[in-house]
This record gives sequence, structure tokens and C-alpha cells, in this order.
Amino acid sequence: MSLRLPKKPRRRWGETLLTLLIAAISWSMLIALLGVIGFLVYRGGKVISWEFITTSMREGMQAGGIAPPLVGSLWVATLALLIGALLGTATGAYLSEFSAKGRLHRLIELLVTTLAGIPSVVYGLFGLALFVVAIGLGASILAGALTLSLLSLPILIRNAQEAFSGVSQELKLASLGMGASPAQTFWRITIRIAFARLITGYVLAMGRLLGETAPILFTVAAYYLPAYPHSPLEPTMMLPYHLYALITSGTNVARTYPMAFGAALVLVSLTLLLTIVAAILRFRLKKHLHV
Amino acid sequence: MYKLQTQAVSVWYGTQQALHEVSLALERNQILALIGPSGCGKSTFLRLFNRMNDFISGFRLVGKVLIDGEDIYAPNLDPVLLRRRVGMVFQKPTPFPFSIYENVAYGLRLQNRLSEKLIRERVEQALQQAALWDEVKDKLKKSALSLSGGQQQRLCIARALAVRPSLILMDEPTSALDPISTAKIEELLADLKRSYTIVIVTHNMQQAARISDYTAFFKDGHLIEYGRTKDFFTNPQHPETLRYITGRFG
Repeated sequence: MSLRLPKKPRRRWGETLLTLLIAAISWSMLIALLGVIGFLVYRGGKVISWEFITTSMREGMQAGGIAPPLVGSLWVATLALLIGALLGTATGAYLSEFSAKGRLHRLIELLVTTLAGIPSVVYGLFGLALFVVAIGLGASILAGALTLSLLSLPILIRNAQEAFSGVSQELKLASLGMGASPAQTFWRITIRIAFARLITGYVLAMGRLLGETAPILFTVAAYYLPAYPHSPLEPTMMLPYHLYALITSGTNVARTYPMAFGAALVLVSLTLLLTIVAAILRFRLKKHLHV
Repeated sequence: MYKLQTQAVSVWYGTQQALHEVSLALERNQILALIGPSGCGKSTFLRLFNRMNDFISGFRLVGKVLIDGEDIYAPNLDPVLLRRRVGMVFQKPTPFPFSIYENVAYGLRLQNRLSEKLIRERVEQALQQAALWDEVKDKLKKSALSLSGGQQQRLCIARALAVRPSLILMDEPTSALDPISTAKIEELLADLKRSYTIVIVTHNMQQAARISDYTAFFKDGHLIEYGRTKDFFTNPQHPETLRYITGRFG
């Protein structure tokens, strides 16, 4: 009996074309990203200096640095992340590991999806009404952080859900089979294995929070406040809003435009840096935890 | 008193019946092999004894399951505590992503605070019982995931033994392993029998014949035949059993 070799396949032009097209699109994404950064460097690169990052504004925002809004942004985003990560991880853990997957589960899922679709300016208004006015926090770091944490909830909940449900069912059952309670299994096995993914999600969420503008407008961001906050109940300047102020309210555009682009460059670099940190952390933690 | 006993146990998952009035009893320090074609209910039957079926939604049971004469589905019985007394080894090795030492200590750390010295003793004993000690004694702090498949499965056996259960359940523990690892685990079972009662699900009839004292044959959720292994394979009473063990189906 002779072995029949398959015929050499005909060249499929359609497939080749599609592959090329997909490759072209993904490369153009990269070019777009590099274009944005390149543009920011081109327009704002010359103002970047150690002084720009570490000193306060001078001459009515026409000179000096961006330290107060930078510090303010880091404050608010960090606090928002702490609150959001706590609530989001707990909710994600409930949905993925503990809920009975019944009607309540579906309702929460629906709410989370809806929450993700709300425009960020609406979060700002809600924060203004609830935290600033009704609770009486005033325009403050805490009010801004609470508002931002609400905005980050859907992302952080999904992040936690995926991290926990990504842990192999077999390991969870092995732990339960050893006589660990569901809670013990969660604390000793599930969260440990999910840890790297959780942390990555937090860091990426932080990057997003730093850039959010609408929710901070009415809840925390000050137009001009060249001082560092002493308590979470004070307002502060923030980078995205400072950027907006530099572009729209300057009387000397020639001086403030480069500063605005410089501020934007700092903001984008921070986000990029956090993304890289997330990637490294994930790799390191995975190795460390032998997951 | 029997080590374990089921009295007319029927099980449903939702509307589907997985076991039909299964009654069986086993004395202590015996090995019971459960055989039968896929989906016959042998895994469901195995998991009755540590209530792992409870995690499957729609699970419902009628009848009695007794360990040492105690009804383990009694409403006041805590299934978590039950599972600490009944060890389980799964088909695929399931080492936790910890060190070898911490894997074996896992069950011990769930219980009331035991001294580190006692834990260390128990870990060593368990690894020795599982015939793994000589291979890992110099690398207890190393990741359990660095072990081979066969070693990982013996580690899981050690992990189950460390809490000194009185009953060990094994769900096709060698089906994912190579023949040499399988032989090691079979030898191990013969040793373990002196201290433990073992119920093992296997797809491999030669294995059932080699290692077990009793064999139960399931088909479509019914216990077709149950008896001493040597009689079971040489002189089966039921025509279905004969057809199965001679390889006509399954």
C-alpha cells in the first residue's frame, strides 16, 4: 500500500490578504501610540526637567513646575485605589467564589455592567451630590477619591472575578477535600494563586485613575492652589485639571502651551510606567509564588 | 462494625438519577475497588464518603451512608470536619503551589494549632508512608511543582495521610501516570492497607484485581455485583460482570 501524501495546498489569497490586513492594523495601533508620545515629547519635552516635576507653579502658572498637581493626583488616585481595591476585590470574590449563582448574583452582575457604562462626568456629579454636599466632605481629596473609587469599581470587580475564577477548580476542590472550609480555601489557596493577577489589575487601574478628569472636577480639583495638602479633607490641584487650566485659561499662550504638553507628558509617562511595573510585578510574583 | 456502609443509597443531580439504591458494606483495613464504564456512578459513589458531591448543584441523596456506624449525612454533622477524617486523592495530581513541606503540612495547619515540631514529625512520617521521603528529604523547601507527575501524586497521598485519616478515597489515582509511577503507588497501597481503609476508583481491571480485597461493579448507577476480588474475577455471578471483565463493553 502506498502512502498518499497530501497535495500541496493551493495558495489562499484571501487568507494572506486578511493576515496582512490584521498585521497592518495592529502595527498602526503601535504607530498611533508612539505618535501620541512623540507629539507630546516634541511639544512639551523641552520644559521637562527635575525642577518642572519637583517645584510649584510661579508667576500665575506661567512658569515653574507642576509638583502640587502631580502630588495631588498621586494622593487622590492612591486613596481611590485603596478604597476601590478593597470593595472591588471583596465583590469579585463574592461573585466568583461565594455567591449561590442565583438571582442576586445575576442582579449584581447586571449592576456592575451598568456601572461600567456610566459616563465619568455622571460619576462626578454623583460624587458632588453625595460626598461633597450631602455627606459634607466638601471639595476634598477624600471626596474625590471616593468618587474615583466608584468609577474604578467595575474594572476592579471584573479584575478580581477573573483572577479568582482563573484559579484551577481542581486545586480548590483538593483543598476542600482536605477539610478546609470554603473561607480557608479562599484565603490559603485561591487568593494566593490569584495574587499576581490581582496586583497587576490594581496597578493598571491606578494608571487609569491618574488620567480621569471629569469625576475630579467637582469633587476635589482646585484651579490654583500652590501648596501640598495636609489632610484628606483638603482640596488639591490635580494633573488632568491643571492641564486643562493651562490650555484654556492662560493669558500668555506661548509660555503655558509647552507647560501643558509637559504636564501631559508626565501624566502619560506615569501611566506607561505603571503598565510596565504591572508587567514586571506579574512576572516576578508568578515566579516567586511558583504559580 | 463495618468501616463503611451504604444502605439503599440513591443519588440525583437535578432530575437525573446517578445512583439507584446502592447497598454495600466494607470492613476496616480492606481495599475496595470500584469499577465500571464511564458515567456508571463509581465516582459519585466514592465521593459520597467525604461529601464532595455536596459541591455539585442539584445533588440530592436518599438512604444512609455510614462511616464507623455514624450517619455522615446527619443534619448535625459538619462536612468540613468529616473531610478532615477522610483523605482524598484525585485523578490528576493537585499539588498546591507551595513548597513540598507546606503541601504536606496543609491539612495539619487547618486544625488546632499544632507545634511546629509536631508538624515536622508528621510531615516526615507522611512522606515516608507515601514512599517519597528519600527522594525529597533534601529539598523540602523546594516547590512541589518541581516534582515529576508520579512524585506529585505520592505527595498528594502524603498530604492526605498527614492528618491521619481513617479512610482514604482515591479517584483513578494512577490514570495520569506512567507504568513505573503506577507500580510504585500500587506497592504503596499494599502497605497503607495495614493502617487505613481504602476505596479506589479505577478504570484498569488488572489494577483492581492486583490491589483490592473487594470489588464493586457499577453500571448505569446500579451496583451490579459486589464481592471478594478473587471470586469476583474468577467466578463472576452476573452476566453483565462477565461481559465487562472479559472486555466485551466499556
